[in-house]
Amino acid sequence: MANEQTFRLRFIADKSFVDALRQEPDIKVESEETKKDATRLGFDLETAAAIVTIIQGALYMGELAVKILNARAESQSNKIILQTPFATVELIKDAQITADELREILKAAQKVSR
Amino acid sequence: MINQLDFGGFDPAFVGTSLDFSSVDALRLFNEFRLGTAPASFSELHPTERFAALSTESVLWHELRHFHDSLLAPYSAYVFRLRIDMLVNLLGLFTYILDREISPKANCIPVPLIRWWHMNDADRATWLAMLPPRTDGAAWVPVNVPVFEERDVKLTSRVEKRLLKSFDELLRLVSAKRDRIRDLTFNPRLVSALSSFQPWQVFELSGLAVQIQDLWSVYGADDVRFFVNRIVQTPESPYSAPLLLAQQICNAAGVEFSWALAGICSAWSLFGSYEHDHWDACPSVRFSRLWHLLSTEGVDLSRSVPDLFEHWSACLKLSTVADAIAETRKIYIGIPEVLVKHFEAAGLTRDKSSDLLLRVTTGVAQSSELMAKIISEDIGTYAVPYSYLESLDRYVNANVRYVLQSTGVIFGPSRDELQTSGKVITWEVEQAGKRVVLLYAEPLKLSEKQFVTADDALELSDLFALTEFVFSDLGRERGDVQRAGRVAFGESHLLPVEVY
Repeated sequence: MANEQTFRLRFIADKSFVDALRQEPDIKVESEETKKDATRLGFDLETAAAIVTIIQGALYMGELAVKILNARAESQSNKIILQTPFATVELIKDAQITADELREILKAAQKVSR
Repeated sequence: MINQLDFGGFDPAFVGTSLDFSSVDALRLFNEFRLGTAPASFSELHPTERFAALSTESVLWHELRHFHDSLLAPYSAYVFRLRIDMLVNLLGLFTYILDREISPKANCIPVPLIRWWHMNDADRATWLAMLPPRTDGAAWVPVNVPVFEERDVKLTSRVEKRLLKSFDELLRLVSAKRDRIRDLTFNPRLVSALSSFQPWQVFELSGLAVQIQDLWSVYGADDVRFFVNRIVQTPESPYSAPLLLAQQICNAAGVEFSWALAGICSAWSLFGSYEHDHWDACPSVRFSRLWHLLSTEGVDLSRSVPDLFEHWSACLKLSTVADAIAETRKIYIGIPEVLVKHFEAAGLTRDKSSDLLLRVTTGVAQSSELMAKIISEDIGTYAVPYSYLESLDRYVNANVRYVLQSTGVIFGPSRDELQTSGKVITWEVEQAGKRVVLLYAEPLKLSEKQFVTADDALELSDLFALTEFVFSDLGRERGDVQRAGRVAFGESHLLPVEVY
């Protein structure tokens, strides 16, 4: 799989994260819905939204990881859920994670396991 | 530092209580509370940490109250029955998913099925085209799932032969059950432009009243004031609205804020009979009507709880708590009976799943039976948070499920030794040569009265999780749901592909 590619990801996060991600020029928000059962997903606050984003063109996985971490810094909630077709990953706010580590997570989540 | 604000979350799929921890510090503090070695005061801490510490201390009692309420309230019994009903039908879906005649070349299963079922052929093709290539070079071939069409279908739940048509019927049957759960859990009549008052908020009020009582007993007035203010000042918190309701119902009744009165009002509101009152048995409807009654006549706190309950039911022409408890018992007792008939009628050979379902539903019925007997003799002790907490040895013991998110725990003893001591581990990973546990359960030791083992409770919640993974678009992102699904399909020829 090439490093530079189009991703289609789904995030479940609070509004601050979604707004921050929306500001990124290379990231297109395709759809947005309010999660009806956010408390069951372990969010402290009830106002969680699910967004499907398309990340197109010349954006490397490392760049994407930085953008996600920047948006996470704006989030008021304790976590963000990231989904790809093959994996669901929880990014807990307290957990220290570097852009390199997140890049590896994104790569693994995009990978077809068999 | 502990930033986590919410540690609970009642999950009817697990027979017991569930606690979530996203940091080792929070879990360590929780265990210190259980052992009685936690600090005597948190008033010096930063407000966020102080709130987290107080929540950690008291969350177990809040969640335990949900478990006991669920064994007594008709609302919970109906939801549980519908969920078991859905589960049985969802298990039936697997025979279609795995049938090589229906899907001869399938190498993936799009999940959740409810989304895929509602996608037309063009949308399905677009989605498959976006997937990265398979490592074996083959094309992505999904399980053959019918495309949903808007039409009336008579549902019988009995199918003679596995065909796409009967697959479609089974999916419709499961959807219909899910809609019925929605009818119970969401009351559209209590939604306005500014607010929505739903049954879960009455359950939360019941749990909060017990939690606040515990904090009062252990830490005193300052910490209770801090805890309550913190919740009320966070309007996004799911507990804010229930607590404001408690304050307002006390105002309406002309008394100072009292979590004892909040506990009594929520108990009466939870125990309404649907057979007698139909949709007016909805806990939020009962709570709203009680509010209006208290606004006009106040509350005489010198009366006993059973007396108040009888008076409120009579004035409002709504069912009594006794009616409700009898109905709950009837529903829970009926579940294993219906399951046996279903297994016989469908000609199914009893297997591990059906035996588990029968064992757990029988245990839940026995738990409800015992709780009903105790409550019928003495509802007052149960309704008042103080006496409830003082009487836990009389009630049904609960299993506690620990869900560790972004953290884990390393136990010294082996898995077998832990099992002997009552801890059941269902999810662990190997990290740097050590076994890190991410999900486990154990029974509380509050009473000897327990009818569902931690093992069975975990196994059933795994079954629920697997079916949610395959079918449901709600709550499927949770770690336990994802794990159950990914593990179950780990050895299968079908790779689950998330659709969104």
